[in-house]
Amino acid sequence: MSLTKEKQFAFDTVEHNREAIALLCDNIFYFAELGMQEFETSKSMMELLEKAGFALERNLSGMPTGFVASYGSGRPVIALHTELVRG
Amino acid sequence: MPTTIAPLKECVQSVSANDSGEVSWVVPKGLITFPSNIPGVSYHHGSAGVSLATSIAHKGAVAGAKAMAGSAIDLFLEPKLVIRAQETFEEEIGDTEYRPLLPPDQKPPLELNRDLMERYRPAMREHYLKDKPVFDQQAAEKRP
Repeated sequence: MSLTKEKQFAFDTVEHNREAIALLCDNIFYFAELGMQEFETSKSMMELLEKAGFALERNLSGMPTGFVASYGSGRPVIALHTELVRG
Repeated sequence: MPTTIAPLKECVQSVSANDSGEVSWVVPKGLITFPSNIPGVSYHHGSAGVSLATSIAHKGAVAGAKAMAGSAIDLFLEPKLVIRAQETFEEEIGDTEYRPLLPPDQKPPLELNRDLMERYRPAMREHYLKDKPVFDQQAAEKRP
């Protein structure tokens, strides 16, 4: 696929936030949370997404660390799935 | 560590899984992998966790974010791609009826590791980083 102006904008935004991305990685490393106890990791992610304008649905499937963050409306719906795991 | 982009290929079932495996039976799903860990380490082990605080993960996360954002933009701007994904998905699923292996009343094991974390977290808190990530959305105003 070609490098459209939309994609270039997204890449520039990621690049612009390079240091914040690295700092998020570092923060999660120092939380050093074990499986099912990723409360600080989850809180950090949720706070960042909420600040960026995402609507949060918390306590997914009875998991206090699980959440869905949504933005916008309409179709198609693109979902990115991630584990809250250190490595 | 891979330094070139691998060609797009068909996804096959594998032994490792998380709940995205479940999702793949319900909607079209793709998998993007990008180098962001120390080659050869065991994932879900402390040795793999260390990479988060290295330039390997810092660079990898940036490259991975671009790959994921670029892929999403392709799907947003090319309706044909979404239709093709849906057709391929229906073709591959065929008449298969998806039944989750977990029983419907299965609860997540919330107690797992709780004692350990409660015991050590107060001491660990002292080592949490004081600097917190702040994402700059100024760039969003220039959105095309």
